[in-house]
Amino acid sequence: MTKAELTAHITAGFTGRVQVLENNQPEPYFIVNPDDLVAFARYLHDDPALQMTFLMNLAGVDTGERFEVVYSVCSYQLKHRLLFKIQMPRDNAEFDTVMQVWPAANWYEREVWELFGMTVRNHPNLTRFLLADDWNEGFPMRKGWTGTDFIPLPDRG
Amino acid sequence: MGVIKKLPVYTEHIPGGALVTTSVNSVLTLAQAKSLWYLLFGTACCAIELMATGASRYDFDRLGMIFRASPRQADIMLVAGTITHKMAPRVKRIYDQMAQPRYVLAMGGCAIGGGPFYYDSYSVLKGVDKIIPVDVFVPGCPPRPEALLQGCLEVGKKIRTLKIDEWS
Amino acid sequence: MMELAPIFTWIHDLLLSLGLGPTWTDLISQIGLAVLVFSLLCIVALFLVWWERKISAHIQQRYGPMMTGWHGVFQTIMDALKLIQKEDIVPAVADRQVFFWAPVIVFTCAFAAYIVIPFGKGLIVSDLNIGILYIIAITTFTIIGLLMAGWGSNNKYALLGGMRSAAQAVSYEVPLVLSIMGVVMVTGSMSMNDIVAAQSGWAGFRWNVIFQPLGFVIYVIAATAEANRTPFDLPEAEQELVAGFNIEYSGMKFAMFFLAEFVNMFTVSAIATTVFLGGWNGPFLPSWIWFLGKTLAMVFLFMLFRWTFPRLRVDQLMEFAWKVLLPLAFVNIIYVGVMSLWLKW
Repeated sequence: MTKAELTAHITAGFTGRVQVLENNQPEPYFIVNPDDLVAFARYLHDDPALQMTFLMNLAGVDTGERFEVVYSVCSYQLKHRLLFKIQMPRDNAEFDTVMQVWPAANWYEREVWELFGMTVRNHPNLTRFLLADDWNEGFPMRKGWTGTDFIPLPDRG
Repeated sequence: MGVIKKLPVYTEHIPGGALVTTSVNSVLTLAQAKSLWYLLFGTACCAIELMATGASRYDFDRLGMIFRASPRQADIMLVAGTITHKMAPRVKRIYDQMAQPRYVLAMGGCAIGGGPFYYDSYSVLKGVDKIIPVDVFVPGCPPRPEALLQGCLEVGKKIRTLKIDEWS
Repeated sequence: MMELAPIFTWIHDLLLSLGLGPTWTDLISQIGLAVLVFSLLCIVALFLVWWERKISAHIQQRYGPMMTGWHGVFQTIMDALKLIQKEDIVPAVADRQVFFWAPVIVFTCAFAAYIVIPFGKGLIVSDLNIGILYIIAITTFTIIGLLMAGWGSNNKYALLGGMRSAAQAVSYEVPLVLSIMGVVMVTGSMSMNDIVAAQSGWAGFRWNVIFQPLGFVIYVIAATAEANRTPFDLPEAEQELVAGFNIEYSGMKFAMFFLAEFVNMFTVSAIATTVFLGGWNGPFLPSWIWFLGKTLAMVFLFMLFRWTFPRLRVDQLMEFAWKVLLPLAFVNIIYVGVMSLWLKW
């Protein structure tokens, strides 16, 4: 489906709970509530016109004011893709795991938890695996983080 | 006699005779320098250049260097690639397992001082010489095989200057 | 022309004429022979290590060692000198006695087989009338050494490597012995000199390889496995994957394993030469040159195998030994038996 068809289909199928972000990319970009995350994921996966069975990427973002998690999904069968994200306040970032829909989300969500500090509800194995074994310096990907071996790029002009 | 005249480095010519004398130290260090067995230790892109240097066009075996996978049998550890904080204790452990006399060659920018990851990186150890003593640094990202071969020859030259009681 | 046996008889007579008495003369001459064979084998091992590196390099379109002497001929001496200087590490959790004696056993058994190998006409240290049986028995001891190395290191990879190599060596022992039995059946004697003498004359057409080609093929395959060479080098190639019984050995102990492997390869080549290729028989040239030439040709063949074939997995290896080689070895025995009765070999 083309971008316009996807946008129309999803706004029709998930009325009221999804916003469309305008962008210049060939993929449509949506924003969902964190509470609707699993329902939206299941809708994307199960709907026969969408069949988004492949989770390509799951990334955390720290925009300075809030946390976001961006999901990038595509369909092998129908050959289309889209992006969507959820937004959470910085001091209480929690979201549900989408592993029951896309099992690949396992390690991505662990990474997001480990580097940002966002809690993932219902995750089976939320343990550290990327940072060093004796890491005790917080969450490195947050804006404004510094650590003992961190040398910031000097001139950001 | 012709052969003797071609060995000026470590012989003393006895006047009027064909006797060749040398010191035990120079023979032993020569043996070490000509037969450095390197430990396969590649973590990142420099490992690809390491493999290319070991392959047919630029050959490590010309210098007498063959690879050994076990640290107990290796003489020199070519640290090829980025060392992260998570990898650092393992690097130290492998270095400790090597049998003395042992040497280390830091290959590429990341092993020398963090390389392109020096700024804005929370996970990269800025230089492998923070955890193990390095003998020769070979700069480059990655260094060309000729540079790496020169680095290995420099290790050989350094070894020839050591004395037996200086090995560590 | 330049047979070497008269030299040894002359030395023996010289010792006798010194008036020491037969026992002392025998003792001195045996010790002298042992030292001589040992030194010759060390030189051979040195040469083979260099040769292997050069052959492997040229097969891979590169030069091997080039910087130590002309085309790297002194490379092995440098390797040996370097290995002598290495620190001797014994892991704290290793079984010290077993760890220490493993390389000794492997090294000793590799060299002990040379008592019965005929290097030329009259050049055999001791012509036992159970020559072949002795060699097979001694080379089997090496397996104990490998098992000890795997166990004594107290390292799970070493143990796995040691067990695999023991399984492989034991499995390939059976077709090896059966292929040699074919020759013994025809010759009627297990003495190495008799086996060589039975292949003399007729311009090389009495070599056993011509009458028992299947036996020769089985022997070569089984010998490659016995010597732990590719394609059967799981015990030592695992080192390239960081495993194998050698993993905890450093310095001189490792050098012993290393050299013993090449001496083993020379042993199986020498046995192939003696049993199948006519031993030291040959026209014009002295007998020891023929022996050396044939053995080195077999060694060259083994080295070619190593750098041409990929490695077999352990289950493929065992399956091949028990399901393919062993039935073929039996077929060979039946063939030799039938030919002996029918053609009166």
